[in-house]
Amino acid sequence: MWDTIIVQPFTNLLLLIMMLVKNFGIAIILFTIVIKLITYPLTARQLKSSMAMQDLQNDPVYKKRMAKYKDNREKAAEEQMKIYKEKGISPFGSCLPTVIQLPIILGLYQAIMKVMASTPLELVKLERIVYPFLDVNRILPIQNRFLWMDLGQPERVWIGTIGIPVLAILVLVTTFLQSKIMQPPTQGNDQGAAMTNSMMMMMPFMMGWMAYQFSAGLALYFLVSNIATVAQYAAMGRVDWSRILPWVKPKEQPKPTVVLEEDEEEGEEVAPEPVKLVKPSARASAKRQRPKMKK
Amino acid sequence: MNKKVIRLLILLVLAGAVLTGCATGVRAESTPGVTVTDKYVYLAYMNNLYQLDRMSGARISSFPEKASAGLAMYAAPITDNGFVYFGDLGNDFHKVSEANLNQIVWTFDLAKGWYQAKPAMDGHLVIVPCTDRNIYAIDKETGTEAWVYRGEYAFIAQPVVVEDRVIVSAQDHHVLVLDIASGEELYRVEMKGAVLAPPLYDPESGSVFVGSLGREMVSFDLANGEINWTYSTDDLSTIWATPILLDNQLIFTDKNGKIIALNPATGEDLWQNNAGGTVIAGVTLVGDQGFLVAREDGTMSYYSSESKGGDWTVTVPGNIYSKPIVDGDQIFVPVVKADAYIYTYNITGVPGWSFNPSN
Repeated sequence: MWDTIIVQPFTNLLLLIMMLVKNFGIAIILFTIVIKLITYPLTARQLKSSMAMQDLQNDPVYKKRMAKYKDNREKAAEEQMKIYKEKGISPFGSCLPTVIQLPIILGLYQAIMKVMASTPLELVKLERIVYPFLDVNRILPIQNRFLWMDLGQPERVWIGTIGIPVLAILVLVTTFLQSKIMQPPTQGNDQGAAMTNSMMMMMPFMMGWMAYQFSAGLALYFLVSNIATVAQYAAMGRVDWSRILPWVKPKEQPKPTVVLEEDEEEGEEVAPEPVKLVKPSARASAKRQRPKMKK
Repeated sequence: MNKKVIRLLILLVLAGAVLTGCATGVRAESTPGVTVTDKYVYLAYMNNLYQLDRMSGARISSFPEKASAGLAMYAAPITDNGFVYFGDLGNDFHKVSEANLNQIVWTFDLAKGWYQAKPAMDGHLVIVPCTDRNIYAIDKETGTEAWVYRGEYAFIAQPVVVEDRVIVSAQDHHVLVLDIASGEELYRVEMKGAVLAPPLYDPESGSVFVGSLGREMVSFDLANGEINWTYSTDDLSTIWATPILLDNQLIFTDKNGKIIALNPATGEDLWQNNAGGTVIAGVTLVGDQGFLVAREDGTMSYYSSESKGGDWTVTVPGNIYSKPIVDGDQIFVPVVKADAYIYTYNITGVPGWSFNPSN
């Protein structure tokens, strides 16, 4: 089922591109761009949701309304959900596309490994999943050399006996830059900021480690994907280059996508405090409903 | 640090560990590589090279002492004068002592790719095909490189040494003939498809027979590379294995299970049969009386040269992708997707021992 729906079409698409360009490295790059274009609606939706949530966080009216319930988290969450509903924001909108992209990455990894068949048994299996319109005899052998890389092996540039993982380093650096220039402005030292910072530090190392361990073909995908993502965001006008290029003027705050109107009921003066977005969990609600023991 | 951040970090570390685990495991899937000697059976599969007692299948020794999940070996070794020569998927080629597999005499570590095919030996040289697109000739005494032939694609078939020449099947739709002293390419024979199996050399006629994924069987003269004949029909499928010569007939199978016998001198069709299923492992010679056809689904049949039909059939409990080995009165069948790595039979099809490292 997984193979038929994900791996087989990916493998055949990869092979089709390879047949046209006669180079597996270029095929991976084009394939990544095709996948990025296919998943563009998801990315756009993700960006839209995260932008809306970010704008909401900075909205003074929202802050006021949240501050009003600062001692009642359940009520605050209820209010938050109400605002989301009013403004048509899906709280899962920013993470769901990422979740959907995970099978694509996994499928791509498997497709690359299948195409990189290096044993007769793997070639038998590859031949079986190739669609009839692709002549396997024309496809084989697969040229897995691209620039200095052997795409079927973990990439190293050998200087004497020392192998330098150039691609892994590039993946690490581009992942970091990608996180840095796309990171939304966070507020002070709240939990969200701490999580974002942790992610920003951890992700590049994780991706770099995977690029170091996996075949160069997949590391190439990571690298191209990072660059393509930045390009996509740049095209949507959401990249702040000043975060990595000190000579670039900081970007002006774009017009918020979500603005809450102040209603009379909430006109009272309350000092705005940053309130993080919380999704009420059953456990948290139950905990809060428990009567507190008086000291 | 608050709980959410800690949870997130743990999640990231776990995800990294899982993905890295996938990456550092065995990165290629292949069939067991088997070599049979008078005393032992050597079996390279997954994370070990096993030395088994030929008569009982009992494990005598294995390499390395402590198996590592990231290191695999599939290429059948060769043996010579009490030493075993084999390569692994860690890009290393070793010479070890037959008396103690973990006593390494030398390791050749200049390759940048996996060793997937059985090497060949001639005189003082070990000829080793590698997936880094090179063929290495290594001095068997010192482990140093004598010459290297640089090709365009991974080499995954055992080379054949004939006097001063090395015949190499190449995936780039060629059969290469190299000079054994220098590694220089003498000539190449063009094929219609990738050549995945070693060629067959007939010393009587001086001809080489080789099939390809281009749905053809070709005979050429080793002396000058001239094509003697090409057999190719509309209903012939891809050819994945080496042919055999029996009773002056060239016998081979295609992937669809068709068994074809040709006149080796002319390429003329003599007779055909059908194995009734997919055949990747091809045909295996049994003495001078007959041959085996092992189907992918594990059905292995013996065909005598007289009857040309299945004289006996056994079902091996696994999938067969590589040629069974017939040595003396024993048949050794390497399998995948089975309870054991290898099953043995006698030449009348009576089952013998099987080997599973966990038993």
